[in-house]
Amino acid sequence: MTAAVDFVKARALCRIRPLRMNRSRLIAGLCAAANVLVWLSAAETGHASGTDIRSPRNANYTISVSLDPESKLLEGRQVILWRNIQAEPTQELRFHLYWNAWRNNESTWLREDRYRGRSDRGDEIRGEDWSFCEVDSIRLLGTEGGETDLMPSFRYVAPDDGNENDRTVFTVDLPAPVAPGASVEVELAWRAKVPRTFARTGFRGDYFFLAHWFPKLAVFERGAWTANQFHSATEFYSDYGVYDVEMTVPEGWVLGATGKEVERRRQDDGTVTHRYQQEDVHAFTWTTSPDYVEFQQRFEEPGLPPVDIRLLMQPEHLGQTERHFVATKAALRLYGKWFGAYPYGHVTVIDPAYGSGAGGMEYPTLFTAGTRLFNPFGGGRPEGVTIHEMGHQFWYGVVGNNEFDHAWIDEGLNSFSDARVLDETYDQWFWTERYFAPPGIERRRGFLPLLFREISKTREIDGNGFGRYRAMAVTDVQTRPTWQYHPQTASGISYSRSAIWLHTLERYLGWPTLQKILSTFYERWSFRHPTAEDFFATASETAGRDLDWFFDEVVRTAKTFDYAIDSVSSDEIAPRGYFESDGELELLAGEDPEGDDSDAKSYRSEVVVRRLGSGVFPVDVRLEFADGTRLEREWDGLYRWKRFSEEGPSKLVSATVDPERVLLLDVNYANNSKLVEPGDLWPAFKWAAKWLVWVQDLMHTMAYFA
Amino acid sequence: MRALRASGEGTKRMLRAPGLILTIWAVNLIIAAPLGLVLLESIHAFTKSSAYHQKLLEGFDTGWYEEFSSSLSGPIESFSPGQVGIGAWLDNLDRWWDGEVFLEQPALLATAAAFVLVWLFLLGGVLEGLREGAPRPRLSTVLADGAGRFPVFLRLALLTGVGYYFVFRLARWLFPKIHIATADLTVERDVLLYNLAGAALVVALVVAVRMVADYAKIAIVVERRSSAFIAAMRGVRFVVANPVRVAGIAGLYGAVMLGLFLVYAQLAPGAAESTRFAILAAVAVSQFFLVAKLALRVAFLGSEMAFFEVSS
Ligand SMILES: [Zn+2]
Repeated sequence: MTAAVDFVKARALCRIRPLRMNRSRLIAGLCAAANVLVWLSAAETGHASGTDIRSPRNANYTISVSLDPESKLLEGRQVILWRNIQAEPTQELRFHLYWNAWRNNESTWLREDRYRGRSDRGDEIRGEDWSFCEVDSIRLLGTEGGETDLMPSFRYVAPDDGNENDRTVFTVDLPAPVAPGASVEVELAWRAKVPRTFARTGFRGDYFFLAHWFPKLAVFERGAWTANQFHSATEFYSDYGVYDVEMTVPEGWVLGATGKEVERRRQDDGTVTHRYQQEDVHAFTWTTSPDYVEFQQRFEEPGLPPVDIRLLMQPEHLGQTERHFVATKAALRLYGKWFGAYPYGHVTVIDPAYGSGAGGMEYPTLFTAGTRLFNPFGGGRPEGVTIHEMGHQFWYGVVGNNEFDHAWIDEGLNSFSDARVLDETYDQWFWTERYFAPPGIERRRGFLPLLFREISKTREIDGNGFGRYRAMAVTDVQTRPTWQYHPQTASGISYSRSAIWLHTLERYLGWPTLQKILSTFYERWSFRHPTAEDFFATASETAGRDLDWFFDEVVRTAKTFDYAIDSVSSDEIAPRGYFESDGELELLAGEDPEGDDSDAKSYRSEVVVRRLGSGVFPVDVRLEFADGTRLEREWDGLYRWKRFSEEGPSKLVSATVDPERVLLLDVNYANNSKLVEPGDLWPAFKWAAKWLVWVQDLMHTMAYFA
Repeated sequence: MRALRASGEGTKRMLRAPGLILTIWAVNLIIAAPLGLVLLESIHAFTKSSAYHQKLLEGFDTGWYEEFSSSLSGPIESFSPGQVGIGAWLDNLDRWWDGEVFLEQPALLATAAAFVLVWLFLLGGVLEGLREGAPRPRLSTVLADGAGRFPVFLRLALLTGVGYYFVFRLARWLFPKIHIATADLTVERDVLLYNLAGAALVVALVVAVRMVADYAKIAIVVERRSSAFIAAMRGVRFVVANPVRVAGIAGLYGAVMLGLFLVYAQLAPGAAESTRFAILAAVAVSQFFLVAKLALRVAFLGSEMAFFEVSS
């Protein structure tokens, strides 16, 4: 059956005895579950849903959860309706328990975090800061109303690294295989302890941000379960489905969640239950706090569907409300125009609490931005992060690649895109420093910002993350599964390297072609799980030419790109020796023929271009002459060097390889040009003198103490 | 003697010795200059033949900086566009504040320490010149006076260092405590206020150590003391006996320094000067403010001297 859960069967769920929760609340919740299952089955059989079915909807969750802010405990019960959409059967179910990554310091996540060189958080974490997610029961719900207890076969597995202490993936055996196209329904009861924030999920005071908080099915594909453990440098992967979630929190607290609120109930015990629904998403995230201030605006743009934006702000950031809306709308408009429309009609923007660590993260139809008390306009935040996370609604939310294996698909495409939006939307973006972080806290998190309005940042360098790319350009082959990357370099490759090669493609193919590639990829892979090869194939097909050579050089291997002008010279042609003249041999001595005026001088200019890196890319070489003329030459870059020799009436001034900087992947652009006459000392003097003042002042400051 | 009168007196005495202030500035510049030349040479070598040459003349280029900075090692590694204008002053305060300066750049620290030694050497003569009715100081007498006082000033500096060390340890203990105590606050403004309170305490203690050191040095000069320890005790007694006036003078100079900071924030050169004249003018402006800082420091010592002479 394809998701045909009948109403009687669904109502039967209401009889399930809750484990520890307030019983009446749970029953109400699961009755709601029954309703959504009915609605879902109606939708899947094509009746009266009113919503387009965009995704396979094969992993559907009905959850009832309550939060106790005092004990930081979540208690949940959920029914998962899963349909096998693969061609192979399976007799097991695999689940993620992401919060067990912070259950103790022997988890794979924390081991990797330590290896990554972050502070040894295992020592810093206090008792109340750890988390867990414990499954108390798991039952298979039979079609006849019967149940099968699956707990006897419950076991943790560690498919990635065999870490016996890791508790982030578990598996259960089913009594019978689930055939292709068939469905099963399981019910779980669980408890989870909210951590002090790790990986952007957790609490700070009475601020709660709850992501990846419930037992979540892994993805069954190509005959096996893709169920990676939680790794410190990678994110998530799930199938699409319908979520119907009831969250119970103290009365008066503001709640934001994936989807839209469809119902709100007040209980006698001073709690309120919020029910949210969302179809065609692959995760569900929520947040609650008594302090949020709510704002609403609508995004409207000809040619694009309207989007209701709900913004939950921290009271101390109210002056920055409009900045959040402007950035969110910019992303909706430009991503919408470039790649395709945002399909959900609503989005919730969260301004997280100070120090909550929840900022800058994407979830379906909800994302966190992140700003500071003092945050002058022009420093790039919160605009950049807002655009980035709104952009993830497209690259991650709609196009749902496996973030364990190919994090670069969503992070890379999105970093490239957000830098482009930022550049189109805002005039200027400046170098910014922050000062006076509490000792021990990273300096960039200091309280006091200072904008350097004479030092502009650019899309090419700062937007794409050129510095991070340079530092990590060749530490890993990009097509290697991301969770296997060196943990210190994973983000540099997934974000920056990808953004830079995409920008290189933009300059090489032209924006119209790249835009078509990306919009085709978006259209073709909406609500599906593309792999790297799917992207490469879409690119070649859409561009109308084979781009495999590019992906071979840039993505499937780890190569350095570095073209350089090795030498330049330009000398007057002064013939010496025997030359033929009027059929006679004439001995010339390299002097100007008498009476010749200087206008008739001729120069031979020679330029040697080298390829210093292993990566090959065709480049242009530009020669600029004293009379203002320019010559452009092409080089396929295949061999290691090439000499260009030109004769003409004017002296060569400079030569540049890749003058338009098409190959943004080139790690050393300073050596891409060479002046025939080296420049004077003034630029070096100017900048050395500034640093000298800093040194002198450092000395003065030390003398202050003496 | 009220703080305002003391500062007027201090300024008057400071003005007796403009040449001396310029000498100290010049010594500072000379000690720092080799490092500056190393950076100049590095930038020039890296940039002279490249298209970046023109870009750096006209402004800055963050792409160039990514490439250039990764080629650096040693003290010039600290070169950053964040040191432009007032950024240099803030950056230094910040580095001292979080103790980073001790860990990251030993060569810079050694250079700064060399200047501190020169400063301690000249200080005896400077203080002599700041005494009531002292003649306009001449370099030879300053050097002679300084040489005489240098050993005791050096011992005093070591004692003072112990005092600073305890304040430093206190700060290292205090701020993690504040961090934990504010771990559940969700409002940055509140966390900032707690940190500011902690910072105020630490700054007050630093100033207290500095005041004791200042008055101890003045006692060494005025009362011809040769024991650093007894002078330090004298400094403690003086500060304890006159807490309001001592704090008043220090507060007044703190305020003037803040004013100087704000003026420099307005006038400090940025990154856009591109003509030779503009580049030289930018250097002149920033050097002028370093001289002003130094003059303020000497005027402050003059005020403390005047106050000490009246009160003891
Ligand atoms: Zn991202």
